[in-house]
Amino acid sequence: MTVTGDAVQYQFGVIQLSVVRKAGKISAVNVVQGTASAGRDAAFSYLQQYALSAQSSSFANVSGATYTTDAFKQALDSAISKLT
Amino acid sequence: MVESLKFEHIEECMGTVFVFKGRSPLGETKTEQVLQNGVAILRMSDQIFSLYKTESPLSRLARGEASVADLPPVVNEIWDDCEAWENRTDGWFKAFTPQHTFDPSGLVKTWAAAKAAERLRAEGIVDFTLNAGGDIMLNDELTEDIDWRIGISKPITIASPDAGVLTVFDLKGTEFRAVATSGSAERGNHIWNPKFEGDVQDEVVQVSVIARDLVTADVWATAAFAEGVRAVERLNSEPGIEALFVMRDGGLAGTDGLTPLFAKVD
Repeated sequence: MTVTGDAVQYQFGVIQLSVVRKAGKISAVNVVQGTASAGRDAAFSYLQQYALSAQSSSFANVSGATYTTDAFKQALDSAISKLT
Repeated sequence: MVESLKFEHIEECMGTVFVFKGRSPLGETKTEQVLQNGVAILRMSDQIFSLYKTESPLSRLARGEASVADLPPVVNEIWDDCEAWENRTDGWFKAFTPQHTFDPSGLVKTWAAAKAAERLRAEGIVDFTLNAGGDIMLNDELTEDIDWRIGISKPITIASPDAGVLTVFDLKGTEFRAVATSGSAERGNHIWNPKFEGDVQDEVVQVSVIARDLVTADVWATAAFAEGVRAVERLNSEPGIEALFVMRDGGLAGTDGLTPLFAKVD
């Protein structure tokens, strides 16, 4: 199934994406139309790639800004509460 | 063949959390011992370099009670490293506060983590990842594909109910072994403008740097977050570095070689 999104204005121009879904998972993201200011074309491939990879939950670690011990504990508590 | 033991060791140190996770060919008792030896390196580094502990060598140095020559040689080593990184980043990484206090905390966490990882390796544990408060180190010998994949946090605190992953990188088959992220999500704007002139940049809220080693990734993430979006061009000219920048409005920017590193969907 292919779903085409609305054309949206974003910081580097206009972009419209179509998304191909297979068995409930996004299998491809295609650019239907896109305009970008000079030097920002790479943003398209980021948008495509990050939409694809973000749904994959299979990773061992997450990199983020250095968290505090407290933030880590809160995140852990929140995850545990969702399990029960 | 020895059956490998799965382990996950969580250690609170330096105000953050370190996680050693992987598989060990050593037995349970020996594995625990080796992990404790690694942790001891983190604790020792904290004892020496913490500016929160009033009697640490670094605190004594800051108060002018001791000179570098009076302190453990590792202080001198870190001092030299910080100066070298300051030059390498054109001043965007700086271990001196505006009050001229030596504060190498931007380097010590990942430096100590890398030393701890070396210790594990020397004692026979090589198939593991190390998460140093959100900066991730991989080893060449990783046997599970999932360990090669690293999520990049959304630029919001992990304590938030909206916390989650923005995207995923897959470093398998690449030269890269580390990802470090700097941003304002957890501790606010803790990176001051190291140039001490002009404004602090506020266009970029998070920078993740992918490099061959953990300290390099960490330092460049700090420097690039301080410099802002202009750092994309600077990092393009650095060999062995890729980076993803997240803007305040949600837009993304990155280095030229970043795209192939995004994880593919199975």
